[in-house]
Parts: sequence; C-alpha cells; structure tokens
Amino acid sequence: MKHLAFLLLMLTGIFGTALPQNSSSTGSPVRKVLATLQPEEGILYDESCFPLGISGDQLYMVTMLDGKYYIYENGQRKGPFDNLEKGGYKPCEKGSEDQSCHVFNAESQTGNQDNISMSDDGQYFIKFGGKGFGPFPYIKALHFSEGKTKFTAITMNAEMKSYLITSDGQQIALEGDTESLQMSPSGNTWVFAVKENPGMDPAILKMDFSNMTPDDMLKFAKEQEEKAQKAGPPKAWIYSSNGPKLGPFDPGTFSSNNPAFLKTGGENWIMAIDNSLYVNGKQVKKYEDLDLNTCDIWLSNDGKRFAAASYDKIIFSDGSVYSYPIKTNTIEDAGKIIIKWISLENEKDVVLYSRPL
Amino acid sequence: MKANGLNPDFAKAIVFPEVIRYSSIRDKLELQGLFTLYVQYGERYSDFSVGHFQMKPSFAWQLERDVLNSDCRCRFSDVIDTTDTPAARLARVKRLNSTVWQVQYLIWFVQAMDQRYGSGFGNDLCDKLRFYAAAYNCGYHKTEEAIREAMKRNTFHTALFSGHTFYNYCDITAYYLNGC
Repeated sequence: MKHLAFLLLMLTGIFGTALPQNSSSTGSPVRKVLATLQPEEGILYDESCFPLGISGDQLYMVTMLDGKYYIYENGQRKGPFDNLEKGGYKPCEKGSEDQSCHVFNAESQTGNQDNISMSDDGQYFIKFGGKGFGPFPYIKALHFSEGKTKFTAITMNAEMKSYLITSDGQQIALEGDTESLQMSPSGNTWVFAVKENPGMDPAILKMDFSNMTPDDMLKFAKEQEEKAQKAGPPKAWIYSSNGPKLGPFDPGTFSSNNPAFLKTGGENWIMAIDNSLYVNGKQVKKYEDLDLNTCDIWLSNDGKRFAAASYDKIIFSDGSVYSYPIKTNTIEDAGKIIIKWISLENEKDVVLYSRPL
Repeated sequence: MKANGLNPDFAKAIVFPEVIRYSSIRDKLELQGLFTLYVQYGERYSDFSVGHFQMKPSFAWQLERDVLNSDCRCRFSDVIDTTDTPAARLARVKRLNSTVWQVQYLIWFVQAMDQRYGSGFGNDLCDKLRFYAAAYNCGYHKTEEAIREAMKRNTFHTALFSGHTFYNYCDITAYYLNGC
C-alpha cells in the first residue's frame, strides 16, 4: 500500500497538479452525464440554462446541428426546429443561483429613509436603537447586522475626510478614499480598503482661487505637485472588524469585489493579491497557474477549505484539479458546502460534477 | 496610437459603435462558460465578442498571425503563441480581457488595413473610415468587394441579443468623427 501511495505521489510530481477528471486526494466527485451531443452538434450557450441549484440539475440546453435547433429539457431532446419559437423556447430565468460572481454584496442602506434622517441644516443622522447617530455631512455607506443589532458606516466630513463609525462607539479617521464597505452575510463582520490619495489636499476644497493671480496659481500648483512627489506612490490599507489594520498594499489591487465576503464562507473575508489568496488577512495559497479572481472563489464556513476556478480549471485546497468548468455554483447541504460544475467532455458529453468543498 | 503613427480619433471612431453596445451588455452576459469552451475546443465551438471593443478571439488570432508573419520581427513574437492549443487560446482570452491589449489589437488592425488599402483613399478620410469600420465589423480578411458591400448593410443593433432596430455600423462611426 505504501508503495502504491509513493507511486501516486511520484506520478503527481511528474505530471504536476493537472490530475485527470475524477481524481481527488480526498475522494472523487459525483459524476453524472446529463446529455450526449451528436457529432458536430454545438451548444448555443446564451440560450441554454445550466441551473445548479439543489433541485435544478435538469439542464435546459439549446443546440444547433446542420442549421437546425434542438432543445434538451427534462432529459429529452426535442427537434429539429427551424427556429426557436417553433420549439417553444423558454429564455432562462436568471435567479440568484445563476449569478456569475460568487462574492457577497450587501446593499448599503444609505438610500433607506427608515435608517437615515436629515436635519433642517442638511446634516444626516443614522437612526439606530431609538437614537440618532450624527450629525454627518455625508454618509457614504451604511450596513446593519441581522436583526439590526449593530451598524457600521463610512461617513465624510466637510473636508471630505472619511471616518469609520460603528454602533459600539468606534470612530476611526481614515487616511484616504474608501472602497466599498463589505459586510458578511450576517452583517456582523466588515472589511474595506482605504486608498491613500496624496495628490488630493482636502484644504484645497476650502480655498478661494478667485483672488489668486496666475503666478500664485502656478506656484500653488507646483507646491502641490512637489508634495505629491515627496509622498511617493500611493498606498492602500485594509481595515477589518476581526483583525489589525493591514498594509501597505498597491492600491491597484483593490476593487469593489476585493477584499470581499463570499456567499459561502460565513464571517471569513478574502482578498486576492498577485495570485495569492488571503483569508482574514493571512496568505493561505499562492497560485502559479491560475488567474485568481474573487468572483470565482469559494470558502467553507470555517474558512479552512477553499476552491478557485478559472477558464481552464477548478482547484480545491486539497490539491485536486478538475478541467474546464463551464459553469460553477454551490449549494449547502446539511451544513456542507457542495460545489457543482458542468463540463463538456470529449466535445459531446455534458457532465455534471459535484463534491464537497 | 500616436506612438504608432496612427490618428487616435480615427481609430476610436472605428470601435465607437462597439463601445456603445458593450456598455449595455457588459454586466448581463456570463462569459465564463464561453471562455472555457473556447479555451478547451477553440473557435469552432465558441467565438464570441468580448471587451470594450467587442473583439472576437478569431479576429485577435488572425491579427496575431498577420503581425508575426509580417516583416516587423517585433517584440511580440516572444509573447504571442499563435498555435491552436488550449494554452495559446487561454493566453489569447486573457489578452482580450485587457483593455491595453484591446488597444494593441486595434492598432494592429489599422496597420493591417493601412498596409492593404491605405494608399487607395487619398484625402478622403470619411470613405476610408467607413471602409475600415465595415472591415472591422464584418471581417478584414474579406475581399474589398465584400467589405464595400458590407458598408451598405444595416446589421448593427444595440440590444442584448438580436434587436428589432438595425443600424448601419459605418454611419455610426462617421457620426462620431467630426466632418464625415
């Protein structure tokens, strides 16, 4: 047995991580052929639905062969049809399970009058627990936890300086522009990036340029330029509710989906930097041959197991690699995260795979 | 563009209709599966428009081969693999996802057209623009006659899939460039 294990290790080493379909170091995925195409029959991807929900494994697929349409539904192939209307074509209903990005984006409550009030002089207050928190000239983002037991907000003062405000009394001045405030699905944990903006002096906003001569303005512009040059390249920092301030990082790294919480992953947040995956600020994996995108990452509730997908493969944290996932999604079953994906194998078999994260 | 001796306004006009269309569909289509099918099996199975300039992988591949087959002996020969393999297709998809590379493909397109037809237009910039735009839209490797024919057709729409109203691609490009 030991020899066999060694042989497998050797083979894995020789062939890298590109294990064949159905291979897994922790157990094979469940494999089910959903449909088999005819030679030269092609999938019309935009017209096809690949629902991967817990009750929706029956695909609805439209194909074309020799200029005629075919519709696969409920395990049957109907056609040929000259056009899709004749075949009773039904456009896909795009439910939440069909969204292409698996990042969790909580909606900010800044537009909800139930949560924000305005004073006569135009100042904003956050309504929480029967009290008003404020005043704030501007509230950039506001999120509540489940049951509205806590809130977290990004506010700005008249000098455009940002602050983190929480219902438990935190008020942290932020040195730069905040990317979108990200909340966990429960609303209990938050994370966001702050990008320094050394070229922007808040004092400029209060200056009266109308009294300046052209020479004064030129001098002022030069001073600002020198100031920006002295400050060096801008930096970015990560703030989170469950760890220290992290950084500095290259500001170009961060976007509205990075850092992020995931639809799976509970209170754990992720970020992707230079193809490295970070969970709660700690690097857990550096990918050499996969372009990491936070939209295509899945994380277990305890934050320990993960998977990432790109155009040519899906890689699990146990090292298993599976080829060419056309569509991926997750379901939760008895507390386990199950990843499902569809592949087209041998140019003919539409195959559904599923395995626990 | 300027560094390559090209008129940026002229090049922008060529892709202007695609930029309009991209704005309306960019968040609605899930391209992951199409990318995967292209990388796995190639353009015979999946050839789709991608990015701000709505370029197809087949268009990019044709340009790459033309550039590397030309006399430029350019720096890109070390970067671009024009074989029809999954690795080469994956690299192409990554390039098409980059705005910088889309601009590079646009530069190559204008240069390829200049090489073939540039001297035939004299000072008639508007006719040249309409011709280049039609070639961009219908395929620059088609014959001059086929491209001229395409200039007359109203086949461009801005709907997610095929719409009810069709426009002339060249008219939109001419509208964008002042004076045409």
